[in-house]
Amino acid sequence: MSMMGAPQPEGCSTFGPIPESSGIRAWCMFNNLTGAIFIKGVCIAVPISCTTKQGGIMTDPGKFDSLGIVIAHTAAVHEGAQQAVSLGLEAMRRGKRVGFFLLSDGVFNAIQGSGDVATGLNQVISDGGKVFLSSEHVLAAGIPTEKLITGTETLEKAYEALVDLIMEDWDRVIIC
Amino acid sequence: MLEEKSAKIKKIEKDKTLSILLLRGPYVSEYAEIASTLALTARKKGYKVNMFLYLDGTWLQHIKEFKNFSNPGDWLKRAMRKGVTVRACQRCSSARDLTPDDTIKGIEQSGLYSFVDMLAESDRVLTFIG
Amino acid sequence: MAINKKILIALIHGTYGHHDDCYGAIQLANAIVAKGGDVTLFLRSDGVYFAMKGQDPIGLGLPNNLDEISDFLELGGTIKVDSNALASRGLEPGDLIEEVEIMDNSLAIELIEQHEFCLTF
Repeated sequence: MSMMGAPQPEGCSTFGPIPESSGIRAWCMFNNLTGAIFIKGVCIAVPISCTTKQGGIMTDPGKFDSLGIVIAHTAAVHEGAQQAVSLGLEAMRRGKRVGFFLLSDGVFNAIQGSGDVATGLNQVISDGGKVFLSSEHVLAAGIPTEKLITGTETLEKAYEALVDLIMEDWDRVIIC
Repeated sequence: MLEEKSAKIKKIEKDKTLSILLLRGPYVSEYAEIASTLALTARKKGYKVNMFLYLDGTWLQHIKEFKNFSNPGDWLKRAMRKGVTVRACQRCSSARDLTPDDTIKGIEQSGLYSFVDMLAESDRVLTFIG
Repeated sequence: MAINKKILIALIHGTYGHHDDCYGAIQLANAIVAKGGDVTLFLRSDGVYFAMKGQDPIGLGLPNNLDEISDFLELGGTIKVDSNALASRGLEPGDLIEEVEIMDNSLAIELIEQHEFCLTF
């Protein structure tokens, strides 16, 4: 079963340290590739099922490492914002890198103590996720900086940043 | 110096395609502006961008005259001038009595399959509903 | 042009009071599968109402969702329903058509993983 010396699979830091939050480790577990051997977080061997005939890692084209979630409405409008946060937290538990982008009415969810969505966003930040806010919309809404959840990043050229995130940074994008 | 300048001027076309599906009309929410602004911004960055107006999103094509206040139709026209391809659902438009004479020039009303074609060539797809 | 992609359509509207949204969603879903794509319709929030059995909107003059669903399933589409949304609305699996698959919404990530795009209606 050991494939020591095999070509290093694409996207996998095989034979090297893999952090707990690594998407690859989560991917291995998710796909029941129990043949992969991890010792103290280091993958030291992979089963044949991890490799393609050409020696690269056999990834499903649907797998993703990063998820972007855009929220443009308040929590009261419908369940979407709350579900978005739950989805993001679940994705992080599964080792994905997650970013939230709040614009339009979505910025109201970033007011500290405003409800379950804000609580969830606090958790996202604590767990290493990103929460971006459109500064144009924060200003329009009249939300003072000191009322915003600590750790959010307010962006000046919000649309340019959002396009970069959507097209280059996030593998999947959901608009809730 | 001249070469540097022309390098800066040269538009860098990126090899990814973004498609945006707009399902809400102007003024009822900010989605029409957001969709159009995102389309314009992405196009300026060199991406290929498509927009499909569907359901109440078809009303956006009707906003064609000048306004002295925020004008979602104007954002759409700017995006089109920059090269964003915009199509509208023919059936949805017809249901709302939106004929080509009533709408912004350059927007083709077509069947749903044209959006499916957009999906087929896209790397990212965004839907705006709320 | 055939479409060789797997697309997830998340439906958050499902009632005749907001019929345009769910009707628009199923029309698009049918168009995609007709052109060779693979579509999963994920009913969440009010979208769960879309799959209730015994619907009869004849008095409203609106097309019956079940007819469109029937076409969708026949073309190879799949329908999944968020169990949490169902329960919070006082509904049970038996209130829905048989062909749907009930799933916990914590598995939504897996659905996203299995599809290239997620469109929300």
